[in-house]
Amino acid sequence: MRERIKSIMLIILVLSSLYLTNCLVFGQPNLEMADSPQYEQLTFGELKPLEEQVLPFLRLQREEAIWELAPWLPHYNQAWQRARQLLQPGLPPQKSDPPAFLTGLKVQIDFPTAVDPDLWSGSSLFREHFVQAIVWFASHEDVVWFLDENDQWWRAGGLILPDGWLSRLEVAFSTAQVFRFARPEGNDFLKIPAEGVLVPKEVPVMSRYTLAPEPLDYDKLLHSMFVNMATVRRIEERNGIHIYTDGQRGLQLFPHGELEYTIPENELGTRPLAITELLKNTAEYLHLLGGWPDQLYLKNIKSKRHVFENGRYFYTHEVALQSVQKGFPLVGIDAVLITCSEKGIVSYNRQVYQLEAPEGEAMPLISPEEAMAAAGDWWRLQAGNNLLLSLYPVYYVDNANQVQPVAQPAWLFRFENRQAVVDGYTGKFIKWLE
Amino acid sequence: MDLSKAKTLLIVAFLGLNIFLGYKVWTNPKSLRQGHVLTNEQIEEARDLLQAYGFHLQTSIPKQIPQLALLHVARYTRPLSFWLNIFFPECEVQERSIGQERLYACEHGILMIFDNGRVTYKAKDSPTTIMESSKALAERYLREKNLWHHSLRFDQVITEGVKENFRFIQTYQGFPLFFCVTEVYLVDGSVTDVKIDRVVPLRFAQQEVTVISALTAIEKFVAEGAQHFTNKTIVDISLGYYSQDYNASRWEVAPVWRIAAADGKAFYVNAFSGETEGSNF
Repeated sequence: MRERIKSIMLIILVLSSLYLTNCLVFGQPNLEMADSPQYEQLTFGELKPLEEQVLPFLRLQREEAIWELAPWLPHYNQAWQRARQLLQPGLPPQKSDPPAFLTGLKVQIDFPTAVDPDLWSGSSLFREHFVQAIVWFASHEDVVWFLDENDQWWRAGGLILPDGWLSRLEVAFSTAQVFRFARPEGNDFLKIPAEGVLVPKEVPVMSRYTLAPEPLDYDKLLHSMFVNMATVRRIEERNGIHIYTDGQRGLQLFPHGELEYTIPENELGTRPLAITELLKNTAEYLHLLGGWPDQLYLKNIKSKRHVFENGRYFYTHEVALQSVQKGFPLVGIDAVLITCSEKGIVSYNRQVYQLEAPEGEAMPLISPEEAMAAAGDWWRLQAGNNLLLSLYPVYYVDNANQVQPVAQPAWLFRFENRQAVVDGYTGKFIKWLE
Repeated sequence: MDLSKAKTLLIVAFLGLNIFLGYKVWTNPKSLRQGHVLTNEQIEEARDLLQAYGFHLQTSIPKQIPQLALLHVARYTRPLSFWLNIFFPECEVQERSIGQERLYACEHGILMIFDNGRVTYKAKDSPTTIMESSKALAERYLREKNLWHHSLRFDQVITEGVKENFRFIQTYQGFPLFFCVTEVYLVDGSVTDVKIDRVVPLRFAQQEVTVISALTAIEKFVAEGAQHFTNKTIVDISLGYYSQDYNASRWEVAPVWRIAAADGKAFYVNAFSGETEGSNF
């Protein structure tokens, strides 16, 4: 019996060794039969919630004194939370004239792009209206006026604000920047509104800084952009640009820290995207392609309709984000510029800079009046009939495409339809911004 | 030794062997072997597809669907003296720069060296002897000028007016580098022009990917490239490497399927993505 068991065991072992040998030599699966490779989902930071993407400027005006809260200033969230209650009127809106005839204490909300207020309020009364700006007067506390995406003013009543709402809002504005209206005398070449040009009350003290690109994990970024790195070609251009491409999508890494990612096949979008969809996509793109750091704020959104040769239309959208450092926006470049369609990203340009080291002592900028006076005759030649609305202190990114870009303190002249940058120390004109 | 003892020893030995084999099977990396080859039916399908678009095949359609990797290459650079010694030995040379190209002239001809590494030579002399132009003659010229390299492989001859263009393609480990061509133009057996595009192949990338089949490449060709081909004779369908011109000193090149006509026109399909990689229309 024992010998019989041994014989059976031996036969089993011989057969199993043959099987295992067969597995080892011939057992590798065909490509077609193999499991799909598992790709790790690579992300950067947290996904930006929809309601935190569009952050408006908040303004409180009491006669000549104006307090403004930019989204990057302290207590902004507190003020925005209070101001959001203006988005819930109780009655449907009706067409209106601009509320310019009203005076007294005023609260104004300026959105960076026309947006659906339901994003925050959940109110259906704004339906079909995308809002650029909202204005509220203490003298008409149950009414809000808003400007829609077609530059039409509307008036909506039935607003019920909680007791003490205004005083709590004023407290939240305690850290706001104080502005005033400037009326430069003897200046006949600049066209200014009747109330004056909005300028900061205090002249800021700023330093010129060298800029450094944000630290970015490029290896992670590459794996996020390209599914199979084995098919991605790397090209080291002699001017220092590194190109990665798999034939369908391409990435250019510039020596000064800029990156440009393109997928041309997504260009022909067949339908326009709704703002909510666009914002959702933008957050996802940034989540996958470098992140949405706290210093980045939505600057504007442009939608474009292109006519194709055969008379068909295709649609793309441009989303621009700006970088803010030490409380001042960096202008002259878009920190992030996404062009996309409903098919996905068409191009993604990212050059997020951080202030690195000051160059010299911090100095006060010239006053807004001096800046306006220094502008000289070229305003008349170049500004045309545009009203000059405001002056804001900013950092202008100089030498943006060079190895060492710098942040130059500057005044941003905001006209009705365009903007100009002027050297903050000398008043010398630098450039028009698109 | 009795039979029982022998059985015991064999059981122990096979048990050890099975443990070893089991371990190897378990830990063996699951690298993928070559997917498959095109079936005869698929080859016929590809042939029919080309015929449906009016093409006549003078070459076979490759059956193999191998795994390939990207190819690392560097720009081929030689000092100016190297080129002057080849084309203008013992000759007084005049130099000019036009844009990004450098131009050298002497009584024999004009030599141009481009920033991207391309070198072209144009002879001034008219042919004095009348001989039959041939591949052997072109190859002999390259050997005499020290321009021949064992990696060069004759590709095709294209007639351009009175000139016959003998094209030699650089290869690396048997793969043609379609973008690296040495062209010798002959008229009545005399060299009139030489064009040289070369790179230094460095190595293949580590990761291999199974390429698309020739059938898939042909499907792409008839969809996007076929309408540009006036000459309907297909003389080559093969795998190789192709790159556009980059202002780079080192870069990687993707494998492509080339579909070439008798008049020299070629269409390149990226063998990884199946997208159009380039053409010379």
